[in-house]
Amino acid sequence: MALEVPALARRAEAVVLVAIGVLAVLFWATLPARLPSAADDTAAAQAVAQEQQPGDALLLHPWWTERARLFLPEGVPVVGYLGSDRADLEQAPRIWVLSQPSLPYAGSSAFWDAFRPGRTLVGEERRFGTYRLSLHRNGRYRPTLFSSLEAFGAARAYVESSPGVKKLDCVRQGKGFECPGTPAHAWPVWRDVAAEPRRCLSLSPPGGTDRLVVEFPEGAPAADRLSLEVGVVWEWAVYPGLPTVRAGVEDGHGAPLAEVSVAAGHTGFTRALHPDLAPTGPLKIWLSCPRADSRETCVDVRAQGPAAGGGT
Amino acid sequence: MSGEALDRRVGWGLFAAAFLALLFTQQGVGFTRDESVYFSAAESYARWYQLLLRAPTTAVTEASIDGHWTENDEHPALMKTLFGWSELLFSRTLRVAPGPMGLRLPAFFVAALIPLLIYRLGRRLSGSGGRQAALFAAISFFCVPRQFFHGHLACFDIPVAAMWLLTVHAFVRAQETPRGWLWAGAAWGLAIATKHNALFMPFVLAPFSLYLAWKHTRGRPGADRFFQWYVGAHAGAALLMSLLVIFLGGGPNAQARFLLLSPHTAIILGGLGASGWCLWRLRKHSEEAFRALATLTAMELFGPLIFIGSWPHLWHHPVDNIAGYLAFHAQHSNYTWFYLGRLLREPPFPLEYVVVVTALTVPTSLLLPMVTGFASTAARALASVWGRARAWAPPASWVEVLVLTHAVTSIAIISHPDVPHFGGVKHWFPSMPFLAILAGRSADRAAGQLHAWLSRRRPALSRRAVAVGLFALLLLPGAWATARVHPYGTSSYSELAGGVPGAASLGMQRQFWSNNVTGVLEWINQNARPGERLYLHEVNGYSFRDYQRFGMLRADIVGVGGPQDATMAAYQYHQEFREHELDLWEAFGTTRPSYGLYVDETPQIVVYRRR
Repeated sequence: MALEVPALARRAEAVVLVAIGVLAVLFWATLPARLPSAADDTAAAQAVAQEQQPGDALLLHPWWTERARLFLPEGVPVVGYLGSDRADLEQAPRIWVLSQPSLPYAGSSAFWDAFRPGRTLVGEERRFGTYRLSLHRNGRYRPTLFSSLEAFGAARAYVESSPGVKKLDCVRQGKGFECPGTPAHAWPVWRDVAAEPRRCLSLSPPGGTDRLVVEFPEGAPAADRLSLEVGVVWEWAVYPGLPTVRAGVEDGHGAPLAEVSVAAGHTGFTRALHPDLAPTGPLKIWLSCPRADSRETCVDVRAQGPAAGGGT
Repeated sequence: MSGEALDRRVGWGLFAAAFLALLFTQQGVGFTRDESVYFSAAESYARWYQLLLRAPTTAVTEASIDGHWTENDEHPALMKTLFGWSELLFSRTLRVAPGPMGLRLPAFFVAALIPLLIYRLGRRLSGSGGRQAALFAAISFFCVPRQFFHGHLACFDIPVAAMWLLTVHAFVRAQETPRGWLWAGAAWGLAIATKHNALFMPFVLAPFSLYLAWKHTRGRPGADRFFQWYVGAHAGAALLMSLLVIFLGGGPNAQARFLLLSPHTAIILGGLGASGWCLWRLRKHSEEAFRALATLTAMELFGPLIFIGSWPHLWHHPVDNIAGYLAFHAQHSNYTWFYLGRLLREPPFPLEYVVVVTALTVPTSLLLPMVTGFASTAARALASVWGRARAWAPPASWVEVLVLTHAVTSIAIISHPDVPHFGGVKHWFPSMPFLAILAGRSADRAAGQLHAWLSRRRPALSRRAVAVGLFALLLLPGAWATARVHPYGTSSYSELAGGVPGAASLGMQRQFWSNNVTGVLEWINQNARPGERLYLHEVNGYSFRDYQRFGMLRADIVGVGGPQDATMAAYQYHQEFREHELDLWEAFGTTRPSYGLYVDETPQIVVYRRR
């Protein structure tokens, strides 16, 4: 009896080691067959190129399979970032999904659980080697009637010492604005907000109680809703102990339409919605934070039409 | 051939095989962010030694030492000195080692000592029947892709693992040979002259010295008295030193307040003198107890001598410069690390981090025998102190407990949530040879069990044949993974992680760091316009220079510091650096790469051209 425990353990050890060895060899032997070939790349790219429509987006699954950027048609924005499975992609009426479900830990069911609500499969899923390509109508799509990014060319920027009291004009330099004597600026650029790449207005506050204002003289038309999204960019979002960033949208009469506060440590976009938007007249986006440094902010304002159906 | 002669041949055969494997696979291994800094420092140190030969009185002046030795003064000089001498001899003088090979040869040499030492310590551990276990352990070390990769680098992480192992091996040998204690002291001196990790070693060797001395003096009053005096001398010196530190205000910079000619030095020298006298007297009563304690005193004596002697930077202001060195590592900055889908930026880090990363990077067919080998030996060690359990299995020897202890030491230190976590797995490499030894015992035990089963059906089947088959099965996946991922070893992940693509889905760090750029240099050389302005993201200026001087990057290409000045760029995929890729999109007016290095689909290096 005394020697039975180690003997049993020795047998179990031998069985487990042999089993792991066999499984490990099988893993490496089968891995190449789980990866796409150059021919698969070409076939998938051709299928998208032949059927693409303006406004289409292509979503990657798993999110990190960005090699697809090399060969997919340039006209279709490729979306793949940590968390993109849940992205609404509100600007895309149709979404292509280029999936590689046979990759280890691809997490296909979790992906489809996050992706499917509000989306309708168009036609059949196609297979190109290890790729699965499918086209979906995006029920979360909302037509964009006004975009702060697209309207930025006609905008002006200035610093206010308090709401409605202009302190100084910012100067257009290149594609953005610099505000002389302050760290404040406004640029249309790609920014990383909690891993999501977003082309937005990158606004930096002047500091203190002043606020940076970007004004759009044409304003936004009547819309189903106005959306304000604000996120502190990159790792500055998680820096501890920094003051809260506040941002808002006002109409031509100075009436607030939407406002958000982003506290230190908050990652990702914070969103505020204003339903049943009436024509705004001149539209103002403002940003303020007691500290100017490390509070660079990605701001995206849109006036949107109604959701195509099933949207959030 | 005697068993000892055979072991010697096997050991040196392992050394030769490892050295040649590293030598013939080094081409294409890129320069990690620190390696080119060490190249530069090594060449500076070698120039100083040339000056020392030509004009010794000039060389030893403070100005000359500062001029040559200030570069990379946060790490000891031993390995960099060897890199520099090697480059001088093999690349510049004999011209037999092209490119970075001359600088890296000492790294290959020291790395190749690991299989040799694993084999020797494994043999010592397993006794007469343990040759197969030791052989498996020795081969398995470089079947771990990340260890094989780091074995190529003119850095310190594999060398300090080798020196750590050398010290433990010498410590064991010191208990058996009359002058072994001298070698143990010298080995630790080499270890601390390699990297600061080794400063922790006395804390995990001294208990074994004391235990052995206690065991050998127990019941022998004469010997026991000098053993107690030896311990008392150390305790007294430690107490006096602690009081001095307190009187000086304490705190992390207390050492900086020491002076060379001061009570501190007197305490150290007095402690050493008293220890020496106790040992001299103890040897007359017990040779075994003397050997156990003499290793400690040899480490106390030779450690600092070799450490300071090999590092001229310390010569003129030893106290200040040692204080600066220790303070640098005590207050090391944290680098961001992508771990299970989140970016770890600062302490406290997850307690399980080191164990999880080890499990996801060591080939599973090697990890499992490490776990079973560790568990079985630990169980026997625990059972040794429980009378009833001693009937189940033979008690663990002190060497087995020593191996167990050193298998967990580095892992335990780095697991502390406040210790900076960066550099992938390299900071706990000193644990890996000991885990390999324990894995060897597990694999050998499993081979014995398999043989017992199989020989019932095929009596002619030898145990050795079964062992060869099982060992091949367990080693093959690691060797396969190593070959598949080479030379991008820092991107490697185990079968448990799902390989490189599985790890990407799990949200693990893609690479660490900078060396994978070699995967796109050939494309850049072929496609860059004359005088192209190239931004190699996260490749420092030293490495850019080295890629060009070693002929890996066209000489006419101009290195620039950022996207705004560049017409071509190679971005290194790190989750924490995504903003840098977006800067490229903005500056170059495109989100579409021109080329890239994708290891099993995972983006590693992405090349963009300005529109």
